[in-house]
Amino acid sequence: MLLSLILIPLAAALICLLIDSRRVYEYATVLSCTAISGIALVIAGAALSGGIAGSPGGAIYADALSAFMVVVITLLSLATSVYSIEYMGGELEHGHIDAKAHRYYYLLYNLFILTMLLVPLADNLAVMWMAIEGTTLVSALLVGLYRKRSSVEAAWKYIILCTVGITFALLGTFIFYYASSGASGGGRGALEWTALLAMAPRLNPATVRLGFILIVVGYGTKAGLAPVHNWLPDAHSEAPTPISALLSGILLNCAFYGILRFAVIARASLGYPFVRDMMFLFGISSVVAASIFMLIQRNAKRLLAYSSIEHMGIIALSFGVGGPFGFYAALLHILNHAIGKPLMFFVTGRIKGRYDTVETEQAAGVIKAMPLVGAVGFIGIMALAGAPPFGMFVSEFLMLKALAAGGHWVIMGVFLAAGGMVFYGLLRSFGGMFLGAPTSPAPVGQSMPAHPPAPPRIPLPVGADVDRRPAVRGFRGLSSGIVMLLMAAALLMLGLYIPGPLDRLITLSAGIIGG
Amino acid sequence: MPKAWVVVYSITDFITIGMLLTVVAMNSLKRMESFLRAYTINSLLLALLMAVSAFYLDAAHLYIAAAVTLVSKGVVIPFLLKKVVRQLKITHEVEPNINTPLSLVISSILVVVVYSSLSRGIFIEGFTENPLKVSISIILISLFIMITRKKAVTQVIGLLLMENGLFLAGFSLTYGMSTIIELGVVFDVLMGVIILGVFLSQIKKTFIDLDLDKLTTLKG
Repeated sequence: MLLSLILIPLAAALICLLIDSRRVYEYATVLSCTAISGIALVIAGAALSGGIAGSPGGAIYADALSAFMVVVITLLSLATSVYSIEYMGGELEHGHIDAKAHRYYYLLYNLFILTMLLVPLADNLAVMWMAIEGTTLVSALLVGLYRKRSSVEAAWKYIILCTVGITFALLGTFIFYYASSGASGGGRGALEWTALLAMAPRLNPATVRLGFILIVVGYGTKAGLAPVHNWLPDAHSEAPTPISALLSGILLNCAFYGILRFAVIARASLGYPFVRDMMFLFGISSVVAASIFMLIQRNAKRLLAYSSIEHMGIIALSFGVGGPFGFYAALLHILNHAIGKPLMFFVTGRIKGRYDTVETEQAAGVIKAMPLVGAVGFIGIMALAGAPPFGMFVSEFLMLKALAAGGHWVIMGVFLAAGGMVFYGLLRSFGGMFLGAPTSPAPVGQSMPAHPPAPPRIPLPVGADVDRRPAVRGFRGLSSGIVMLLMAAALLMLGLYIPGPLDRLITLSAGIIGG
Repeated sequence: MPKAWVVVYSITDFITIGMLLTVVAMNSLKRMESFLRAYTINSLLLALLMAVSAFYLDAAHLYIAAAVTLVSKGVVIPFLLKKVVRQLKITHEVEPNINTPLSLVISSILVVVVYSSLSRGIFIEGFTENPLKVSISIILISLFIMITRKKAVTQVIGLLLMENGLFLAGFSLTYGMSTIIELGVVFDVLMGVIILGVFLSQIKKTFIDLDLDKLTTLKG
């Protein structure tokens, strides 16, 4: 069962490699993502009924927390695969990429999903490290897919910074192993998470502290925690839009999951305050740094990238404060962010298809030109800004409640101030983009002499005002439109009501993090 | 202390200091070929250290680790890098941001800092104490080289030296972890080099030369 989660994407990747037919590899990818989503739900069901779907100590292993992560990864990969058919098909037809790059995209897409699924399924922490390094190598190729000057630069920065970061994470993993071999009387140590957790109280605290700092810095680089986040805005803005959605929605969470697993061991060894303070330090600096950059950023994709840094900061803060509310809030926020951020990237991709720009000032009046996309995007922005009645409001409120219960008033004050700035920054840029008066291409060029509009690729028909390219129509547009509507509905539902099974899965996972 | 242990101590120290020297020497090198040679010597010393320890500890899995290191880091990766350098026709590193004498001084200071802080931070005994300190120094000096040098190929070599330091650290902390994990890690490094090679040629195509000072489009 668990093994099929690895084998199915591998088979899909092989199909992309061997069969050179656009229809075949597109549908193979969607089918593979559908299949693994189904399996993920079955595994989650097994975890709910108490049965662990894999054996501890084996190569792959799943408890409730892994099941939760697997569900998030597979469902998002399904949504993104449907959207990819529309978006990458459009890129191919408009000549932004050639047929070879299009096929290469699907090959790497399946491998990317495979490496990300391996992260929560690994019991051995060194295997988990290998999987996270694997995600960097595969996704760096995806970031550089367009082969433009800026995308090669972003991919280079991404691969160098994340590899350096992850080197420190491996050093931390080695130090944990060393601590465990000391605890077992100088014999062979352990790298299995289950074994390490069992011997956590006997580990040497000084050694564990050193190891945990290296882990947080190392995986924190990959998770986009400030001040080691510099690669993130570039990679997110230069990658093809569906890949930006995957990077932001689930890859960051996979890296954070690495920190989570080590933090459980570190807390059992070092006690609660040390782990909490580390998380507060990285969490609050991410929220503050992101909120400042979001005030000045005008590129929609870069703005969303900084918003990801902010949300990773919120997850780190919720996890740091701990307690039943804190852990629950952290996991719920992971889920909310994994729905909300990809949705906004999808919307941005649609807008780029229509306006040929993602500068928020040049693409105004979206809601009039594209009512559905505009409405869905507005819901997404309100959700990302943490406004009620959407899911993120609930998880942020739970975090504030946990902060208040713990008496962390300073953290709470700084977070609320930064949260206000984020709200203002998001609404100022995206509010104008969605609600402002529709601009035709010519006035934009006159009011913004610094950014002359690109020459239209297709001749404008007489009387055309906003439309520079035809809207996405047909089956492809319809199916990805339905996916976007479903995601917006899920954001709304999570704010009003959390279904029973999901609630129990998150509670069980929070119990695992709580130790 | 038995005689065999004294021998192990001095031999491992001798080899690891050799590794440290090759990394420090990177600071004063200019030609790409010398960079590559320094990396190759560093990798060969790492493989030698594993083989020597395997002999004295009588551990079969360390022989395998030594052989894998020898083949991947000592032969395959230098070969691939040499091919990239020849294809791209890069011969020299441009003048670094920090001049040679100053960077040598900074490298020495890094070694002193590591030695003084690690003697308090982490408790480790036996013949791997010195290799651990050397390995952390190698990681930090390689990072320093990556920061100050401008050519993309030099950054890749710095990254690879960092991985060598990491392997040395892993080796001293764990006496060689289980072989499968080592194979996996080596595979990852190899994949990384191949992918970086792809990027290097891509940068060459898009930027004409591989000067990282020109990678400054993305800001803010």
